[in-house]
Amino acid sequence: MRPPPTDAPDAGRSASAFAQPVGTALLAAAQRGESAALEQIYRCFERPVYTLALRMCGDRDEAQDILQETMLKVIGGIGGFRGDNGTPFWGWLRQIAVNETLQRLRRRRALEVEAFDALDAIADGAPPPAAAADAARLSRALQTLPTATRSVLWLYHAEGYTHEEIAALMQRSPSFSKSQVARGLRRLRTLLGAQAYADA
Amino acid sequence: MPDLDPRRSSTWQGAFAALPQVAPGRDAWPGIAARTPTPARGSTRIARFARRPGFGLALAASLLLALTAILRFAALPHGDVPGSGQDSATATSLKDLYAQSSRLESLLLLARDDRVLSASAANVGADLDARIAAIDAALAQPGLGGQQQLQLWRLRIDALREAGAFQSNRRWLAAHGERYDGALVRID
Repeated sequence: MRPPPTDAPDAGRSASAFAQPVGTALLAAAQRGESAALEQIYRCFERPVYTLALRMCGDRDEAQDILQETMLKVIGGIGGFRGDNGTPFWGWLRQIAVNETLQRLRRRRALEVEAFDALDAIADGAPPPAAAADAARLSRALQTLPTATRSVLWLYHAEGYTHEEIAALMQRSPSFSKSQVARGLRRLRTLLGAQAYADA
Repeated sequence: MPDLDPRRSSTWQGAFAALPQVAPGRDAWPGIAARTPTPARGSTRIARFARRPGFGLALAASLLLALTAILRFAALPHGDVPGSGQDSATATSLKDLYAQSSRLESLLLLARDDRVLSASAANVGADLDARIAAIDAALAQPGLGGQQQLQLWRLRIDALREAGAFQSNRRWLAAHGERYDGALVRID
């Protein structure tokens, strides 16, 4: 399995909700297969895994399945986790969650995208509209995006993956990742603007 | 009126980071715990032994013997079925069933080899997995009574036995150069 792309959230990028320290004593107990330690790790990462899966897939039942399969894989592989190359435990676990989610999306061909639009080549460097600070509105707007676009956007802006890392994960080019981010932000901007008018 | 914090909207990263974490609709832990094998002592020694030539054949034979014994045991009447309202007896029976389920999980893990398997074998294996997953989903439902839990755990153990028997038979055939059927499919 490929090591996680980042050891710690970049200061200039968002901090992943996964970035939680797991003590060496807890990790060692979990590696010995102690049920209480495994449950503690599960409780610690239950929400980040479920949230990632839900934001990317957009489906609660699928996110629930991803949570279960991810944690089973984590438990199955925890004995072999050594933190090589300074990989934090949370990064290793997150990578399993991302892989499991992408695998499911691939299986149902949800990562196929619409034709490239010339506007997709233009990066959106402008700040988001004020309505983006409203979590409910932003969640609703995200949900309406195509799955591939939403997934790239989430990996890039919420999890802090780089375009190169997203390209490798999704077996596409960095340009694909950049274009999906540009497209996604453009659509979000429109959706949030439209919602703001509708709510006014 | 939503709580709008202008600092959150200064960047997209900030806006995304401010989205609340979502809790799953149901607790997945009971299903995960049920499918988590009990840690084996001396696992390093086992791993070393597993690399020796002829280990596959020996393992398949041992699994077949072990499963035959388990299946015979399963055919015996259950003398410790708790009566309704007997909470402590139910708890003890449940504890036994957890342990039995965990042992079968460990056995199944050993018997399983999903690297290469035939299409039919993959289908049968997937059906059994789906059956176990459905039972796990039922077990995760809140408010289950003691008797319902006992029934579900017994169903789970039956399904695990079936899966174990199927996997060990498949390995036994493979160890003798035979296949479950002709059509091979690669499983990632």
